[in-house]
Amino acid sequence: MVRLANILQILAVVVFLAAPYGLPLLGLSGGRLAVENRPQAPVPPLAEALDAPGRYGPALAAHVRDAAPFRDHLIRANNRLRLALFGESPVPGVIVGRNDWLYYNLEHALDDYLNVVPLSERDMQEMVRVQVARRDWLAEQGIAYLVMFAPNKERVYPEHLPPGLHPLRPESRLSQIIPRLRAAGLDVLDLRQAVTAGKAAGRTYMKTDTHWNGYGGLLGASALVAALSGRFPALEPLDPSNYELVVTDRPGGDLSEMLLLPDLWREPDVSARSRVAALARPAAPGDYPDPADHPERERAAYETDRKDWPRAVFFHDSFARAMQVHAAERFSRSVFLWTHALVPFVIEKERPDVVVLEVVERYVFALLVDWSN
Amino acid sequence: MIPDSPLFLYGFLPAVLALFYLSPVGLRCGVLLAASAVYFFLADAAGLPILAGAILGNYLLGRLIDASQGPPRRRFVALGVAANVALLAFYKYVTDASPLGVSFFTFSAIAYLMDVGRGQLAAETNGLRFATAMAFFPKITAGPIARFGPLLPELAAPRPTLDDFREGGWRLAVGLAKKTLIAGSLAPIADDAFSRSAGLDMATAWLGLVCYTAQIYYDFSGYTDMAVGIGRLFGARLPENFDHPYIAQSVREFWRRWHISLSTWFRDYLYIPLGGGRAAPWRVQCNLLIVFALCGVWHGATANFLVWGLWHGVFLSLERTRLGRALDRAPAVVRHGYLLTAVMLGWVLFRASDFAVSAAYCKALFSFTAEGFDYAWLAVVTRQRLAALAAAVVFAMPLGGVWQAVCRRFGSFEAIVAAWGRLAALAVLLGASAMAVAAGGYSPFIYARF
Repeated sequence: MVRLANILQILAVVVFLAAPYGLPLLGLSGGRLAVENRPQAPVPPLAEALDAPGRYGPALAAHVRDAAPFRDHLIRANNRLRLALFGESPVPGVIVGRNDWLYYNLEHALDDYLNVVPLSERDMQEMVRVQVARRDWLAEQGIAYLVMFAPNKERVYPEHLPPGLHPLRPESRLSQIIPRLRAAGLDVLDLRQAVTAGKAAGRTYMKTDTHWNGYGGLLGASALVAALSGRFPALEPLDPSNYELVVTDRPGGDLSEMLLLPDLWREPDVSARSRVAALARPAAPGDYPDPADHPERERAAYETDRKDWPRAVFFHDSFARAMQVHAAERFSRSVFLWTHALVPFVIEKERPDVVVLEVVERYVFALLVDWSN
Repeated sequence: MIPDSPLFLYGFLPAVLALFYLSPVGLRCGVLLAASAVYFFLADAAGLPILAGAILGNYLLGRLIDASQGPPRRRFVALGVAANVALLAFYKYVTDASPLGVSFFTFSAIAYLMDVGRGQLAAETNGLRFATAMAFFPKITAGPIARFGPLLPELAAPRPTLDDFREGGWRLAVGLAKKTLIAGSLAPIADDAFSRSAGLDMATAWLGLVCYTAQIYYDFSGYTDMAVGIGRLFGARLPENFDHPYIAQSVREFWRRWHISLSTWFRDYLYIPLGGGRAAPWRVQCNLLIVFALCGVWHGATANFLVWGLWHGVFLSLERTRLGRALDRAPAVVRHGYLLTAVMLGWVLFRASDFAVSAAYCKALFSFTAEGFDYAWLAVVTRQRLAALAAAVVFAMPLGGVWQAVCRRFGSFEAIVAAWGRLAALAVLLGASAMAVAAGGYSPFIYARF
């Protein structure tokens, strides 16, 4: 028995060292699961060993780090094990909350929720300057301008965060900047209250994703239409009660993907289905380049037959995706462009009645993004 | 390439092991030299000619020393020591491009030349064997500083047994787990505390320092375990470098347990030649300060390292006074508390980038405010990191006797329980380490696909 255990100890070491590249030789190989914020390191050409020997070793090490067989499966196993052992996220970018809720923790999202990184006076002055300049430039052409803020998930659903996680200071960055923008005469739509109040009727954010769901997007669109109705009296309200909420089981969202567990940590997705026929239909994009210039940030355009409703251009981030099909229901033409920059050639081509800048709370620094040519 | 990288673990090491075991015994030393050259090339190609030059120079000097007597012999020894010190000083303190392991291979070479000069070791005549001993890849990155006396015969005709392979694999697994599971888990807490330029409170500062104290031990001793284990896989026994240093009860004892190959090097090649502990008390204390000042600058070219070395030297000097004798009579808990306080405060100098950071950190350690700790607790401390810290505390103690006592309770099954218990531990350590190594480079991001 002792001898057998000793032999198995040797075998364990051999398997550990040889399996990653040995098993593929036997036809067993792990595929890619991970989506990362960097391209996979390529195999360095052998010629580089002679041409730039100092770079060859690090490049080869980086390639093997990224491409080692079974790497993603080991990461996934590691995530499952750590979730089971510690009940907390194994990935720095994800917070595991209560009741199977996941929260985002990159881009200082947690600091944003804790209110520990307030905006400086200089930042706020610059944000106001940039936004006022936009508003004035658009106003010279008779175009209205509205800034809308989609709230962070944890601001709307703090009750599912891990116990003890709460803001350390009372005022958020959004609460700092919104009064300053309004004081400068800017139209600002703060969706925190509307989306939080909407929780009474249904879940407004995805449990496994950093974004709001279709219902949250509908609430945002409804509040937007209400905010614009003063300026455009012909606009009819977008009443959420005309929609029914539908729950669909689907693979987990982006946070679940970060854990490499979308198949196990699934999303009971809530979407809003209109009880009446949709007015908006997809339309041809304008005759100009897409400022996003990215295959998965493609622009979208919609049109309705209501020519008495305004034409709108949205500059936005990922949160507009769940909102746009609903918002499009109340514009004669609506164009959605994935950028926070104001793009003059789009304005010239589209001749909108209103320009909307949609910014999610954690991207408040997008207010500093200036013009784009 | 570092020893806990996938390239090393899954590519380089298995390939070298296969080649080594498939080669006739007479060719194995050559295989190890070629592997060491490839390792060095992949880790630091620019440093390879410097290592080759150091090998050639020290080989020739060793032969010259061996072949001469009297004053010429002493002059050759002095020349060799000066050349190695100059090489180390130039690359470590003058240029920014320090070759991989220069501190370790120059100290090994100095020890070799002095041993030959003292007649304690015959100069190695086989250049290939000498080069292999100097460049042996398991130890080149972070030691231990191996003396050539025991190493050269083992490299002449390496014939590792199954026991060598088993023990080597075990040490490799233990070292990898120390590095990836404990040191890697604690690093973020230490990094967070030491990277705060302002707003560091007392509680966060102490937590960060405790984590760094554990991190540096598990990181360094983990590397040593890996080096010793890999050496054993090839039939070479590298010296031990750590013996549960944090259980020490005096700084004197700490240095008998911490980085043993370095402290014994300084003892044998500097402290004793300076007169050691047999001179007048003031002279001994002066020697200690000299030795530890040099020990500090050996670690790095900043004033922080010099002061860190002197910090330890001062404590060692004090322990040779009445104060030290009083301390020896104090209860164990007092002595242990003294040692940990002295060593941990020293780590502030070791970890901080400069004096200003050290001073600010020390100020925070005694600021008697916890304002800001709630943020650290929420944002940085996790259950997994706390578990790693608990494991770090537990495994900093010598538990071999406890395990043996547990096994003995099984009576005639003692050996079976010990063997199967270790198999289970090995499987867990290797599995968990493989997952941690894979996850180490994982950088998920929700907008990566956009």
